[in-house]
Amino acid sequence: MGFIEMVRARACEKCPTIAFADANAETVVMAAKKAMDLGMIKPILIGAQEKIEGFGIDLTGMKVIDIGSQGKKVREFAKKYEARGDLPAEVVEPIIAEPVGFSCMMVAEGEADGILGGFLYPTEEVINAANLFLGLSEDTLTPSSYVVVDTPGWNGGENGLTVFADCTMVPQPNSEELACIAINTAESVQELMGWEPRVAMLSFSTKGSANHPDVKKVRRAVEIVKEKRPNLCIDGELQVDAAIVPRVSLKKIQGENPLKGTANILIFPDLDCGNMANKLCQIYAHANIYGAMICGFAKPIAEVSRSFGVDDLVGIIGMLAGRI
Amino acid sequence: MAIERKEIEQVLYEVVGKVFSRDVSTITPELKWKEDLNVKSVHGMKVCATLNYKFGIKLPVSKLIDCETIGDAVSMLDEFINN
Repeated sequence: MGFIEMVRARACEKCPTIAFADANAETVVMAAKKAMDLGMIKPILIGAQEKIEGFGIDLTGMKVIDIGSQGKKVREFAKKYEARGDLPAEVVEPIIAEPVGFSCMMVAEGEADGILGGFLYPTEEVINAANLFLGLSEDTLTPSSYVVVDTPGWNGGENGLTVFADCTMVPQPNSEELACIAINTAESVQELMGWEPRVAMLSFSTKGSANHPDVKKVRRAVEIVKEKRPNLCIDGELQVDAAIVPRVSLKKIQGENPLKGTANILIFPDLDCGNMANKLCQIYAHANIYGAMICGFAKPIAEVSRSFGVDDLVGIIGMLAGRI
Repeated sequence: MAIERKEIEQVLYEVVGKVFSRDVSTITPELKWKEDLNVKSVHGMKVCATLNYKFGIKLPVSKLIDCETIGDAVSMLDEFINN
């Protein structure tokens, strides 16, 4: 079973309710319908009803929320936020009156199980609304993201699949944040795909072959993860070849070597590395990239790119639904 | 209608004090968002949402937390509101 088939099957088992904050985009509505028809989700489309109906897509089975006529509900959500937050209702009302804020409050209040956003609205807006209305999960210092990389002809990782983190969100994580990214990614991957995580904390150095503040940052992050999750299979700092090529791993690493070149999760030291590695795999190795999945928020959320087509969206809807 | 820089400064200090649970008298122009206040995006969102409401503007969070100091944020707000 391929990756997409696997996440679809997991989504179908749960069939959660997903709030779509970008329902003013035809591609998003088409993807929501396809995912519903496959039995993966129950969609709630949030946007301008007239525009959504104007796409000419059969909306049977999908709930449409016309954001422009939700004044009463917006005030109700704002009052609920005021009761648990530290901002007055009148301050948050304008944010909740927008589809992203409204979707987040629906999930926060248990009226939906997860959110898909970012197709029409900038990433910053989606993340900020999630921060404000959903909050971070326990022990999380920063939300982060991961992608699943499926490279033709590559048999390493987990049956040819490897997870990269973080590729879209945290520009310069410190050791504590890097440790948080590693733990949240490993737990999310285990939950979504059932893998036993084997985490490599990447660097330009392998186990002390170089000494530099950036290397020490990664080394410290490994120590933090080991303190917090002593049972997690993790190693670092490692160069990428020592992390994923068994022959190189055995050659470069003397002594303790829990991964032996079989890492299935790669944690990059910063966003420059993660983002470039992800795109290089796509361009040079024709890899399929699935995601990005966001982890670290108290409730499930997926953020998508404006360049996504219907099938890309259905893939990430499956990943989102499979995590719920 | 133009808003005086002094008023902008006063409002920003009050909002920052509230969001970061600090006495307003400890908020100074030299205070750095990242180093001194350890600003996270949720703080930025709360400050920004309150400023947007109070001044009737639509300021993006990134514009606010990209400022190095509170004083820089006052200057940016002055420019944003009055130009």
